[in-house]
Amino acid sequence: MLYAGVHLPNFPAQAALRNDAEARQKPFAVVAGTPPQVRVVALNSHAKKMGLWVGMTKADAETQSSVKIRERLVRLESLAHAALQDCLAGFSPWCEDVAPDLFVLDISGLSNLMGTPVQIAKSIREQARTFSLYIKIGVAHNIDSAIHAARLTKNVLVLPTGGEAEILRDAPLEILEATPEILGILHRWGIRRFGQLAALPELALSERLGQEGLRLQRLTRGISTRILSPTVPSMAFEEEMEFDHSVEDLKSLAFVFHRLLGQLVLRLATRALAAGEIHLTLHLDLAADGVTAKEPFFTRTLKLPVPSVDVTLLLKLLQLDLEAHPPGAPVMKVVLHIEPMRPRVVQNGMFVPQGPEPQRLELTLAKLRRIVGEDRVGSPELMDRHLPVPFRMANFTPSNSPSRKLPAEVSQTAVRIFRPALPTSVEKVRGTPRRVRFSGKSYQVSHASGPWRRSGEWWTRGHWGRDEWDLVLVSGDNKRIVVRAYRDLVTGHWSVEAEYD
Amino acid sequence: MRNAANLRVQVESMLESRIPSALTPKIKPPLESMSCGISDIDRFKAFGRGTLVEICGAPSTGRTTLLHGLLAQCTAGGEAAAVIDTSDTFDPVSASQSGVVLREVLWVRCGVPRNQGRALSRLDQALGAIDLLLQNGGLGLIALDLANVPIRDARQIPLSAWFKFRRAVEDTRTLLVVLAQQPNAGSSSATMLDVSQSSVEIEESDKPSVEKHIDGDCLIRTLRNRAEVLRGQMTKPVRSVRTIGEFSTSLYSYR
Repeated sequence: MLYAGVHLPNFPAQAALRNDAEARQKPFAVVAGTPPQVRVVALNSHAKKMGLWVGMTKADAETQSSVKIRERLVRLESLAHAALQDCLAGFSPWCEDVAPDLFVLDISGLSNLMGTPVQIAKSIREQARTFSLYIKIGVAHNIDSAIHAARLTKNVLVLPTGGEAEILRDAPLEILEATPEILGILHRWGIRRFGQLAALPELALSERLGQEGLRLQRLTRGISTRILSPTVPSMAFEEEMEFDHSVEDLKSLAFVFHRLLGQLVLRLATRALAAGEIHLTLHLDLAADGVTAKEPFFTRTLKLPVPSVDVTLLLKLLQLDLEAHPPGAPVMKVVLHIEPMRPRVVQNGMFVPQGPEPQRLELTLAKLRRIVGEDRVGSPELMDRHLPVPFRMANFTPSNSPSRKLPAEVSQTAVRIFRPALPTSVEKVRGTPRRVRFSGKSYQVSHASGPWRRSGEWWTRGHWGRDEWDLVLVSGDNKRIVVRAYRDLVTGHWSVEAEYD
Repeated sequence: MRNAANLRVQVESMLESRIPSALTPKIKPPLESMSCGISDIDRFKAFGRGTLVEICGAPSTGRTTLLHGLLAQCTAGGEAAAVIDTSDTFDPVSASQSGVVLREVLWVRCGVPRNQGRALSRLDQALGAIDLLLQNGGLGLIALDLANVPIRDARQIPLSAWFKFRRAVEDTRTLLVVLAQQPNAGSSSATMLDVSQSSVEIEESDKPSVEKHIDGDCLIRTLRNRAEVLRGQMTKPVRSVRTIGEFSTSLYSYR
């Protein structure tokens, strides 16, 4: 068996900086603790160069004005942890979640695909870089040695079988999972390296430190019987970013969305999944001027008709949606959550008509909604209700499958509906319209067919009733049109509802 | 002329290895024509894919019936179609009764002026929508319904826009149909179908006049219409054609 220990050094700082490329280029420190004992727990290399160190107080760190200081956020760390887990899932399904900053994965059998253990480790490191994570990898034939190698090395360390003790000889005892008491005793004895502990006589060590001492000694000798217990990766795909100052301009948010969506899509892609639904939550700054929002949180949900991993498409859809539904206040924090779905795999038949490409169509529909209105784009769907024109707008999702029933010869006159119906003044003779006037024009009625009484929904508040007439109208220039007019039974008003064409 | 022909042959033979038939216009394969479900009109082969076709006429002349026929044939074949409804007059009920598969129809209902506070006219919305749909591609039929747009307003669409639409559908399988009261696209339309009303058939009640309870005791049975192809550029060289056909449609099913 071959195992790779994956360690995320400087974890709190990496988690805080993962989605903030700008801050990575500047001195940065993460602080934690309760006042007044708030201390630096992690920092980047720029901050180290300025003389900052882990353990110094926040007050001391703040004396360096150019250093950006942020509170430690466990939530960001859990997101970074989930991202690394997704990254590793792309290499092996046998992955154990040892600690927030440590994983072990079984890489046996990967050599046929990816080469030597060093090449495998480098591939994992490269993939982690695309997730904006810097990792160290140790490869060994047992789990504990792989973990120790990962903690010891600066990038990649491969331990050969039987050579673990020799290579780990100078490793500090701090990388062992020993209790502080035992570590203190060993330090008092002057034992600070793996090699020193490995060389101690077993009996004497057992008499002084018990079975725990012997276990630690075996670890320093590269001997371990630990079995991998794989962890099932979570299906929660979420990323967030908090701003130092609230953002008013929605266009500026596009950069943030792009960054977060890029990360999420990358995670989905490594798990062979796609985005089925996007939930956006914006934390708003209600204290700013000119705010129209009432709630501190603004949420939007985008349901995609076809699962997608196209960042440009998802970004454009989010932008169009936010333009149509602005949050109404400056944004303090962005949280993006994606509901994963299996990507749609379609093989078009040779004789199936080619339809619009689903992802592109969704973007076009979003743009159309922006032009004509939210509920004015889609497919008409007939409803089984007693309404004058019973239909509703449904999502346009073409099936691209030919209908089994071929259309017959067209024999029915089409109708054009005026929305809203045109108010009409009517002159009647013996109850029949003889002259009508609508849209500023007068018409002589040459033939009138009716009345046809229609009503519906009388069992609800939306009840309606009308006497309908089909009228052949002749205009002043002797042109003939055929229309459908009606008299409302409630109001008694006449209207022209439709034209036969 | 003879010299010119000789020169052409000479140039073509010199370029033959690099550009075959360099000076001979490429013969386009005949365009597949879409059926509108009315045999008397189908024989014109007026609705060629990859072209812009105008159906022009006054109200109650069968323009919308032709459109429903085209939509029915297109959607029954499994192709998606779009209706850009400038005046929001599309009737899904009568379309469905004509055989249109509604789930394959994208209905863009222009009308509410809104775009980030900027008011767009119905016509501007329709032109924006058609631009987007032509870019998207993959649709078998796109119909731009300007039938209820005043002639004056429809005339304001620049010729360059029609030319752009024609170029966008060229060499695709999309048929672009424009319903209007008068032709607007000029030479950009491959076919211009002028429809007019011939007659309206009325079925009078056979009851004596004294027995009729009211005067509306009759039934409007049929609309008879005439369609004339005023221009057809389906074949090269371009030639003007005038072909006339008749079709009648029934209102019977509504009553």
